[in-house]
Amino acid sequence: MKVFFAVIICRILYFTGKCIGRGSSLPGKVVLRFFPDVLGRLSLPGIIIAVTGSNGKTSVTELIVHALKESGKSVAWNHEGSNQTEGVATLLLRSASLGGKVRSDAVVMECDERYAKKIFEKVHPTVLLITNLCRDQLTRNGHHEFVADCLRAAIDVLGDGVKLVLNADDPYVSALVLPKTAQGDGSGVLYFGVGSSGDGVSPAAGMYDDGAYCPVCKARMTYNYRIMGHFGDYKCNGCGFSRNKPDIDLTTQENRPLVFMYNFCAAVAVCNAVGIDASDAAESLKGYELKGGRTVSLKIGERKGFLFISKHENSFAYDCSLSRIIEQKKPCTVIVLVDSISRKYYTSETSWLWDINFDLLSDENVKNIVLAGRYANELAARFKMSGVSRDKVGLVFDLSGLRDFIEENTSGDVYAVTCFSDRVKLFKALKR
Amino acid sequence: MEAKQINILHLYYDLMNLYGDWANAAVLERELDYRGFNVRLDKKSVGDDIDFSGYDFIYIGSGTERSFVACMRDLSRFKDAFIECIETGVYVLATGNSHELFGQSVTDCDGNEHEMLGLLDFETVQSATRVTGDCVFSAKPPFYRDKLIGFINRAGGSQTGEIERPFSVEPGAGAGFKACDEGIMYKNLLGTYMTGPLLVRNPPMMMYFADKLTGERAKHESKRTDMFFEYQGSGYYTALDELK
Repeated sequence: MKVFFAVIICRILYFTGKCIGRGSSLPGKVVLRFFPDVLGRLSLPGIIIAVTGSNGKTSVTELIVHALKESGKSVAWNHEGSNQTEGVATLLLRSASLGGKVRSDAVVMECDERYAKKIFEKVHPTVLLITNLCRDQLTRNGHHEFVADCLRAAIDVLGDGVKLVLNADDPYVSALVLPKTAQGDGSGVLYFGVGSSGDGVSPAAGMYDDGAYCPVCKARMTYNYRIMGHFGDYKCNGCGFSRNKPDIDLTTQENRPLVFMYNFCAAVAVCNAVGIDASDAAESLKGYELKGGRTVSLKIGERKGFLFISKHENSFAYDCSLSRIIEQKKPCTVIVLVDSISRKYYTSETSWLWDINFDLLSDENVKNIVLAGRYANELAARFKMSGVSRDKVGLVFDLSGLRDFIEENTSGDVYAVTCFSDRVKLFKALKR
Repeated sequence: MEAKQINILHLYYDLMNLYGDWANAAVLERELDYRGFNVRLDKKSVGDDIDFSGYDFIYIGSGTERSFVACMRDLSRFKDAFIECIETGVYVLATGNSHELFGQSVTDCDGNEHEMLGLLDFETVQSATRVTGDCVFSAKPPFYRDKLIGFINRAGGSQTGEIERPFSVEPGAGAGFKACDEGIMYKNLLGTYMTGPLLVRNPPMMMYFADKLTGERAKHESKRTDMFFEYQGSGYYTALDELK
C-alpha cells in the first residue's frame, strides 16, 4: 500500500508542479518525507545507470539515453536535470506503475556528486559513470579532492555489484578505485579516454595545474601529453600511479569539440558496459545534436555568433568555452557576463574569476571584449592582471545599454560566455 | 636615486593554490611596481632549493588537506630557516589552511596527527564536515580599519590554544557564520582562514602590506590614476554590499 500511495502522491504533485512551472524535485521530497524507504520497495529494471562527476553529467546522460533508445530499449531518466536525492526519487516514482514496477528496460539517473552516496543507499545502480573531477562550485563543493572522498564513500556503498565506467585521462577519477583495485587489474572497471592529437607537447595548463601532483601520494607527476587541464597521459614520479589504457577511445571517429568527444566516449563506454556493441553505440550517436546543448545561437542585427553557456564558479567550463571561441578563427567580439553568481544559493564569491585563463582572449581574432553585469568591476580587475590588451576591453554595468554598446563600439561575430543564472538577462539585453 | 628592491616569495605556488591564490602575490607585486619599486617575485615549491634570506614578503596560499600534508612534509626541510625568517620580522601572509602550519599539530579527520612547525601554541583538529561560505571580517588594531570580505573553505573542526587572533567573523553576514575570532599573528606573520585572492578583493589589506614593505604611506585614493585600483575598489564595495 505504501508504494501505491507514494506513486499516487508523486504523480499528483508532479503534474501539478508541471502545470505551475515548478521544478521536479518537490514530489520526491514530499514522498520521501512520508515514506523514506519507498525507493527500496520499487521493482526496478536490470539496467540502472548512474551518471556523476563535475562536468558533462547532463550532456552525457542525454547521449546515453539516445543510444539506449536507438538500440531498442525503453528508458526512464531525469531529463529535467533534478539530480539530488529528491529528483531521483521523483524520476523513479513517476516512472513506476501503481504496483511499484518501473516498466522501462533501463533507468538512467544523473546524480549530483555530493548526493551520490545518499542516492545509492536507496537505489543501487548497475553501472556508475564518473565523468571527471574538476574545480566546480567551491562555495558548495569545497574542492575536488573532497568531492573525490564523497564519491569513494558512494562507491563503497555499492560493493562489487557495480560496473564502474571511469575517465582514464583524469587522474582524480582513476584514483577513486585505488587502492581497492590493484593498478592495471581493472576488474569491474571500464575506462574511456581521448587519444592524443599527436602533438605530443603539453599545452599550458592555465592559471593552475591540478595535475602537478599525484592524487594518491602527492609526489610530482609528469605527462607524456596533456589534453586539457589535468587530463592527459600522466605518470606519478613517486608511487608510479599512471593512466590506464582506455577500453573506449573513439577520438579518431568524429571531428567534434573536445568536450563533446569526452561525453561521446563516456556514453559509448556506458552502452558497452550494458552489453551494447561499442561500434553500434558510436554509430547511433554520430552527428547527434544535444537538445540540452550548451552552445546557443546568437544574433545581433546582421551579426551572428554563439552563447557558450559556462557554469559560473567553474573555471574549467570557462576555459573550455574560451578555447571554443578561439577555435572559431573568426574576427569577433566576446561578451563575458557575470551578474548573479548562482541561481541556487547565495554567494558573492569571485575567486573563480582568477582561475580562468582569460589570456586566451589575447588571440588576434578577438577584436573587442565586453565585460558586463554587476561584477564587471571584478572582471575588469581580473583582465587588468591578464595579458589581454587594455584597448579592446569595454565595460557595461547596466545591461539595458549592452546592445547599444555592442552595436556602436565593437565588430565581428559575437560570442558570449555566461552561466544559466545570467542567460535570460543576456538574451533580454541583446533583444531590441 | 635607484629604486629600492623588494623581494617576494610565493611558496608552494602550485601545490597550495586552491582558488586563485596566485593573485595575492601578483597583486602585491603590481602595487609595489606602481609605487616605483623594483620587485622580484620568486615562485618555489616541493623539492626546490630555497634560500629564505633576502625576502621581504613570503606568501603561502591554501590547499586541499592532502596537499597541505605534502606541503608540511616538504617545508620541514627548512623549518629552522623559515622560523628564523619570521623571528627577524619578515612579512609572512598565510591564507586558508596554510596558517595551520605555524601551530603545534594538525589532526586530520581520520585521527592521524601531523606535527607542524611549532612556532605558535595552538593545535588544529579537523572533522569530516566541510565549512564553506562567504563571510565578512572585522580586523583588530593595529591592522585594518575596514571590513574585510572573504571566503571560507576549510575542513570542519576547531583550533585550541590561547593565542592572539587578528580577525573577527561578523555574525550573520555572508553565509551566516557565528561570531568568532580567528587567524594568527606573531611579529609580522599574519594568518587567516580566508581563502582566494583576498589582497585583490580587499584593497585595504593590500595597502597595509604595500605600506609596510615600502615604508611609506600610499597616496590618497583621489590622487591615484590607475584604473586597476578603481576597479578593485568598486569590486570590494559590490561584494560588501551584497554580503551585508
